[in-house]
Amino acid sequence: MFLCDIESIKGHLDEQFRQVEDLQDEASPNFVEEVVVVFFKDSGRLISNLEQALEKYPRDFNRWDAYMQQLKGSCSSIGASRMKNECMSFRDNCGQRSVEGCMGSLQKLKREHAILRQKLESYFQLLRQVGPAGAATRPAM
Amino acid sequence: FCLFLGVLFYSVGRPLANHPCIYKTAASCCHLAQLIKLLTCQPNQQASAPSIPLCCLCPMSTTVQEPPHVLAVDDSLVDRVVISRLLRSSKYRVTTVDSGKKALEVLSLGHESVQLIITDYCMPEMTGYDLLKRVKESAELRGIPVVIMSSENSPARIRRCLDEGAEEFLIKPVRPSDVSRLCNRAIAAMPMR
Repeated sequence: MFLCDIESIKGHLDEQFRQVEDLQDEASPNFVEEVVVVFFKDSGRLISNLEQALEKYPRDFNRWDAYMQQLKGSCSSIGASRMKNECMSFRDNCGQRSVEGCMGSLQKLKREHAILRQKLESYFQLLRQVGPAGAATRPAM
Repeated sequence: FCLFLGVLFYSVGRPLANHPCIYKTAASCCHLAQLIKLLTCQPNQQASAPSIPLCCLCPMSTTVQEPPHVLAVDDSLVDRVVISRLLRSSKYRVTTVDSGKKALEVLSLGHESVQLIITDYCMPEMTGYDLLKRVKESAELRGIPVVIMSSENSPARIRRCLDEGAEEFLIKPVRPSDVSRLCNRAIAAMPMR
């Protein structure tokens, strides 16, 4: 059972996350969690940089778009599909030069970021509770 | 002995004559049995010819057991983590750097050890395309195959990279199967250095 198949997380994670899960094995037993931790640190930093840029460089849509392109890339690599959609929506708003649109997209993106983090934290917590024997095979949720 | 191999090679090896690893392994005694078997396959049997594990035969590695060394270049931390794991699980040795500039530094320190460069296209300061150009313009580096990755599926961009000498162009997010397949092919296609 892959995480992206589980009902509560469907839609938040896509097939690409399954590819990441497939890279986990006995040689790298915590790989998925490691990638997820890196992703949230990195995306948190990118969102923070973008927020600073929104303030420091008003209406600099090219710059805002460049930040968002980086974030979209990370979301895409890990399979964070809802976040990726909000990134794309933000970039569309940059293209249309709509400050209000960009701000709205960013708020939605931050919300999706928080939701995904919460869901994944719960999932990994559960894995840890189940213990090494249980973690070797993914729990049926 | 070498004359024997030469005769054998030219008499039956024509369809396989372009395979760089076979040229290089002609003198490798420990793989002679496998090599002869491969060379003596009839054309219609070649589909089921024994496959020679490239990591064992390619003398690009410093020892016969050493797996190929891939230099992965990407400014995205998440992508470096994923590509690094992906390559290691396919049994490659990996060095990751976050910029074209650092890639060139690594290559200047020891280009003989790098069998493949896999690089993101969109990077600040030096793009993957710029890095590709620098590699192909250098007499020492141009033999190293370069694979480009990009999230933008732009035919113009793809054409430009392939024209400049990129081995292959991967659309992100990359799949493990894409990377291991392409790395195997790119390393096998390496000209003699």
